[in-house]
Formats: sequence, structure tokens, C-alpha cells
Amino acid sequence: MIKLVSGDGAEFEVEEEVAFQSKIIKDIVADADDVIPLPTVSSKVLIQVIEYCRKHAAVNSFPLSPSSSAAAAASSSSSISYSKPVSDPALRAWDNEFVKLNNSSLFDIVIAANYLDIEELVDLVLETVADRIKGKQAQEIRRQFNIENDFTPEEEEALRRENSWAFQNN
Amino acid sequence: MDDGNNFDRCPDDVVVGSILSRLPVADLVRFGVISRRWRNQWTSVRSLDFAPDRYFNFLDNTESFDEVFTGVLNRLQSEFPINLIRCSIALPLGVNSIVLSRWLSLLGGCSVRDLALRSHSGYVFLCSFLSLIPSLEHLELARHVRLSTSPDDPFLPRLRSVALCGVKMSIGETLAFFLSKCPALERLRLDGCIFMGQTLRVVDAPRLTHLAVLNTSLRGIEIAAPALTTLEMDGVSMDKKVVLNVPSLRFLTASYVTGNRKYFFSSILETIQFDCGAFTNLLRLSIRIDMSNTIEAVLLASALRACLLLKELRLTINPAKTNCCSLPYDQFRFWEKQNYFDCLSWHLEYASIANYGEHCDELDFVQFLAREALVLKKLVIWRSRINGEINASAGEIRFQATASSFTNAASPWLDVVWN
Repeated sequence: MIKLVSGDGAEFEVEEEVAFQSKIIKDIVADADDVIPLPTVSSKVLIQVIEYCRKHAAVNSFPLSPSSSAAAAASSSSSISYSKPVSDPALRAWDNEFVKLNNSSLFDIVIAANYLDIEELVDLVLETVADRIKGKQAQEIRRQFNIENDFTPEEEEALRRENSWAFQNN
Repeated sequence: MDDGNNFDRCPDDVVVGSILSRLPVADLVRFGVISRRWRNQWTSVRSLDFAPDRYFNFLDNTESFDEVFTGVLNRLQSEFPINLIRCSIALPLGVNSIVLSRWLSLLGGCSVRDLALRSHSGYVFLCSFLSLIPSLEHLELARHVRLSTSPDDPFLPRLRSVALCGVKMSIGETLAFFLSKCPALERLRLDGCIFMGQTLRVVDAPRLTHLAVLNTSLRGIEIAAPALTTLEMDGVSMDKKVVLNVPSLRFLTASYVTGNRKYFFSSILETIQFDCGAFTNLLRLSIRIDMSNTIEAVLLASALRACLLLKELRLTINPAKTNCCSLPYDQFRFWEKQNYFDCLSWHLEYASIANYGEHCDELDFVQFLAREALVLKKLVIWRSRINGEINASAGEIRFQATASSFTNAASPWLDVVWN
């Protein structure tokens, strides 16, 4: 068992194979002890991340899964691969339920997952975020993701004119 | 809870690399108007997807598309370095070869490695155009693209993977083109291709490691690929049997593969009978099976006997029972009598069963696994669900019979995971 300590001091005991979904934790455990402080991750987020890792470890931890093989790593570094490795349809369905969260929670998870280096979780969440941006106008995206518009009206108008094809509703 | 700007909490490379690189071009450009921070970020994306949307519908206007495409590519080329790796284009109606070859040259100038082309209008694609992008490694052609090849087509020395989706082709010529002109070809994916009743022949493919044949109807399949490690077949119907010469096969996925005899992998069984070597080295077998049908159970047992080294077994129970057949499982109780499988005694470490409903046949199989799999470390069971809920008629209480099978499981390491 490995003990993870969240930023607010809560301790979570998890099995090795669950914690090792995170490459960082795997590296740390290799040359240190089994209590791992994660000061930047809150309990709420850590619980969600552990839930994801537990589910994926249970289904996918098997060493010969192509997702974890060196070949897959080599091909993904040389090029973007959007074709997912072989995965359980049932797990896919579980993932789809998992990401039904508000934007702010999604970003909390992605930041934690990025920090912990859980590639599949980062991909899953950012794919969800990208889907929420698709087909929307700038105002909608700003509102949805709480982004402040720091352009002057003239600047924004100039930018829109420059690429008017992307803004016309035809 | 943090109410701050969500995007600003994320590192640039994550946003650009993982969010923006997934957006169609029009969304990408609109994203540049969000705020100053993102004004120019879109030019460093790794992937461009020229797909129509409700603000930018170019499918019937090649000229305006040409303007946009050229403008975006020139803009990217004015930045340094060019990060572009992948480009995907939904071809406008009526695009001609001169225009297309200009676009491909532009992409060649950006050293694009992945190219995906879709067409909705029966476009004839000349394979000789591919040499305009010497850096090309991955090619995907989808929808009504017809391929035209000629013996004088140049070699594509770097092309490693080809995916053809819904492409109409004269299969013999097309495959001969890719297999003879692409010496580095490793991955081939044929999805929903229209074969006009021909036999799929993948032979003389010395470096091919991955082959997927999906959603199609064929006369038969003949594969001779010494390096092939992964074969995936789904939604395939065949009249004739499969002929395989794949000594390196490690991973086999077969779901919804039907032959004349209506059994999911009867064709594969014939292969096993004719050539026992084909499955000897298999490490993972993923299949969809109707356990209530004794013939399929027998096929599965034969497959397990032929796989001497199998480490991973993934079963999906077919919910649509084909019980019209003459051998309903409950008269035979096949799994009760099966024992001594090499792979179960020595190698099988992981098994998963999806759509599990604890019918008598399924329960027998699970008990068989618990009894015979001596080194099984993990068994993952996904219970059958309707609309995300566990099937009420197969409620929790019924699974006690399965759970109790494991109290005396033969493998001392067995861990059972319920979902």
C-alpha cells in the first residue's frame, strides 16, 4: 500500500497498481518511501483522481496492454495519435460518466493529472473540454470558462475582420 | 472552489497541445479572439482539422475554402518553428486535381506527417499525389474517396500507417499499391470499405504488424504476414474461410465476425484446425461470444486449447441470444466437463467478462475459470446493464452464486473485480 497525502492533510491509502497509474508516483516510489505528499492536490480532487485510477488499474493494469507498451509510447511521441489503444467499451462508458462535471472541476482534475503524469486522464478530460468549445462563439466560450475579454472593442473587431470566414453565420 | 479563469490555470503547452490541437480550424481561429493570451497561440498547434461547421461551411465553395486553407497555412509557415504534424481536410465538392495538388504541396512544405482526407462527393484520389508530401507517415482516407493507382506511382518510403474508411476500391490494386510502394508499412486499417465480394488478400507484407478489418462484407480473408502481431476483426461477414499465416500473432480481437454458418468465429476455428501454429503465440484473445450456444462454447474451448501461451482473455457476452440454434447450452453443460488447458494451467493471468448476466452458461464458464485457471491473478466482471443500471432481473442477489465460486478458486492470487 502507498499513502497519498493531499494538500489539506488528508491521507489516502491506495494499492500500488492504482497509484502507479501515475508515472510520477511510480518514479518517486522507486527511490523513496511509501508516503507521498501531494501539496498542490486537494482532497476533493485526489478522491476523484484515485477513483479514476482505481477503475483503470482494475481493468487495464495488465502489463501486455498495448497502451503501456514501448511501441505505443514511441508512436505517440512522433505523432499525434487519436486512435485510442484497445480498450473495454464498458470502461469507455464509465469514463464518459466520469467527465460529466462542471468546467472548473474538470480543470482541477486536469491540473492534478498533469502534475501526477496520468496521461490517459489528461487526454480524457481535455478531449471533453475541447468538445465543449466546438461550434461556440467567443462570448459563449468566455462565459462558460470564465475568461475575461481584455481586447478593446476595436481590436476585437479587427481580429474578427481578419478572419471573417470563421465568424459569419451562413 | 476556484472561480478564476480556468484556462489560465493550465500550462500553455497543455492547452495548445491537447485542447486546441483537437479543435476544427474555425473553432481554433475563433479561440484567438477570446483574450490577448490566446491571440496567437493557435498558430503553434500540431494538428489542423479543416472541417465544416455552422459558421464556416465551405463544402460547396472550393474558392473560399482555397482562400482560407492557403491563408491559414501561410500564417503557420510565417511562425517559427512549425509544429504542424497532422492535417485533416474535408474536401469541398468539385475540388480539382490542380487545386488539391497545390494544397498537398503546401502541406509538404510544412513537413506534415499525418494526412487525413474526407470527401462526400465521390472524389477520385490519385495515389501519385502522395509523393507531394515526402514526410508523410500516416495516411487516412475516408468516405467517398476512390483511389486511382498506376504502376508508375512513386515509392512512399516513410509511409508507416494507412487507414481507409468507407473507401470504394478495387481492392486488389489498392492493396497491391500500398504493399508494394510503401516498404515501411506497419499498420493497415480497413474500415467499412466496399470490397464488391472480393477476397481480401494481404500477402507480401514483410513489415506489417497491425491489421484491422472492420465493418465490411467479404468473400474471404487471406493473410500472410510474418511480422503481424495484432489482428482485429469486427463487424465482418464472410462467405469463405480465413487463411492465416501469421506466426508472430500476439493479439487477436474478433467480435461480430460471422460466416455463412452464423457463428461468431467459426472461420477462425477452421483456421485453428488447419494451422495450429497460428494461435500458439497468442497472448491476448478478445472475442464476443454467445455462451448460450454450445457450438460457440466448443469453439471457444478449441481456441483456448490452441493458444498455448495465452495471458489475457477478454470476453464480451453477446446479449442477443442466438438460441434458435439446435444446441442450447443447458442440455450439455459443456464447461462442467472441460479440464486441463495448457494456457489456463500456466499462463492466463488476466480475464475479463463484459455483459455478464449470470445465466447458467455464463456461471458455468466462470466456475470453469475459477477451477482451471491456476495462475489467474485478476478477473474483471462487468455486469450487464440497461441504461447504466444493473439489469434488475439479474439483480445483485443473483451474483452470490458467482461470488461463491471464487472462495475455492484454484489460483491463490485471484482478485475478482466487480463493476
